Amino acid sequence: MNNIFNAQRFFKLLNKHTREHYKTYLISTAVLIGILSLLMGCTAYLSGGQFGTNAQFGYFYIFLFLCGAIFTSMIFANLGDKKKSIPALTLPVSNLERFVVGWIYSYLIFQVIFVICFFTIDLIVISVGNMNPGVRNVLINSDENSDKLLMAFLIFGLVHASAFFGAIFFEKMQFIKTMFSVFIVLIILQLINIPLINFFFKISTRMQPIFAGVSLYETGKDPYVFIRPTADSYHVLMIMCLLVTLVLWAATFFKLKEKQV
Amino acid sequence: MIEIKSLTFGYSKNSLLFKNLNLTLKAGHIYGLLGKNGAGKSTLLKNIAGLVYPLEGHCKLNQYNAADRLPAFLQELFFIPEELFMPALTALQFMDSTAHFYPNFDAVQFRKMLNQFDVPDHKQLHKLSFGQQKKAMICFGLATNTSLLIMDEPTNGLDIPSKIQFRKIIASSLTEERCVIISTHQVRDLDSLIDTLVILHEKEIVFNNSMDDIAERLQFTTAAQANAADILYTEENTIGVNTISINTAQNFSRVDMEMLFNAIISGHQSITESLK
Repeated sequence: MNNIFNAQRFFKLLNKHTREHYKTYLISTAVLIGILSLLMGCTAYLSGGQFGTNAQFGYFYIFLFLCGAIFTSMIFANLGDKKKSIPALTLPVSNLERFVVGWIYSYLIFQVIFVICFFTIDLIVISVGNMNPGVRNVLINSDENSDKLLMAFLIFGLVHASAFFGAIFFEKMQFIKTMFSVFIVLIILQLINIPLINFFFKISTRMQPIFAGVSLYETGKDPYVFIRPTADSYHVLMIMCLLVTLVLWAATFFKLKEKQV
Repeated sequence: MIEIKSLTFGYSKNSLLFKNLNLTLKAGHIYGLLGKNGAGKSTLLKNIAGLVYPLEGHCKLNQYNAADRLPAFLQELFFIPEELFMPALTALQFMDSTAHFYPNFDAVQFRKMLNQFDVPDHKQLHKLSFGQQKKAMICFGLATNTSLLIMDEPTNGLDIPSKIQFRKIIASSLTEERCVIISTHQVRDLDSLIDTLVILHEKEIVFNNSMDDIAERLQFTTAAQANAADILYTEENTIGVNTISINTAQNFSRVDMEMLFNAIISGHQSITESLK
């Protein structure tokens, strides 16, 4: 018997997970559709039918990250609950199979469902807006905006990996605790960033968001010198983002393996 | 079958629940695990099932280390916890979604037991009463035909007819290849069901004897019937004084598990020594 991964056992687990959770997932999808329709519809209505691509991108990013993080935070909720964790952990499946089922639902299936829901609602809002005289909304063009979309999915990977790790690491209130931890990490990074740059450049640094260039100045001299990130530094950032995502996914797997009741 | 060797466990290193605990459980037996509140009965069961990891030592089931939680180990084990979670499925839907993980699952046996226990198979499990849920889970656990069945307080929530039915069903489902461990506070529910009594007390297994052995070596009688010189323990109750004495006359008496348990946890070493 293969105790690491068995395709037949994996599909049985996927089937069991689907049968036991499909109602919750369907209701969650309906809620997502409702909120997206309401907010995007209201935005277009209040702007006289106008719904530009920037607004569309704004909604796409915010809802992808927020809903993705909330949904992913709940994916291992069974294992944090005493009553549910015993049947879940004694079910004859491997830890890898448990991990992959959670990953498929929270990462792959979520993104597919989200993209379908978002663009369907977006298309409807734009079409309704275009009924107004003089309004010509256009849908986000995936070819023209491939970089923005790629960045959205890359960042979503990182958001997902953080929420996925938090889902197994924390036993209760996984979403709140994960987000709190993420913000703490971001604040620490931001605070470390300035003394670190001061140390390298031997000059004073102005407060600047991390990964967004460096503003330098010398006391008594003006103006600031701003060093913009190069195209290569964006590639480094993307690779870093991908690596951190992979490390967090791996950490989630090992944490799942160590899970106790 | 189950080998627990040098098991040391605690939820923190400073307060250990078990220290260097050793226990061997064999197939073909129904073990009754008794202990005071907080003695660690449920934790010991969780160690056996691989739900918690020992600080030292190991628990093995048929050579599989419990802490590895491998599918080959898990398909030989079914754990019925004290508190249950039931999905929004009927008993038959639950069987369809879960039974195929257990290679020896017997669907006919499952339906038959549901019927014997009067558990409806068309109602959603989470809408059933606690007792009905417990019975459904006991039926499922027995039908998996795993070599190890662990039940933590299985009779909690069962009505009197169901407790009788429970004893009958458990007794009839025991095979030479199967080991059943039942942990309970309600000692009387295990009467004429278990064949070996295990008592957990102060981080140790202080008692591990078969009921036949106990009945053969000890006598449970009233003070008037006992030979005063052989009395090991006395307990007063509303109708008189009951005793545990050495069974020198080879008379058979019904083992009073509650009194035996009280005697052992109150530190009467003579009882455990008389059974060595």
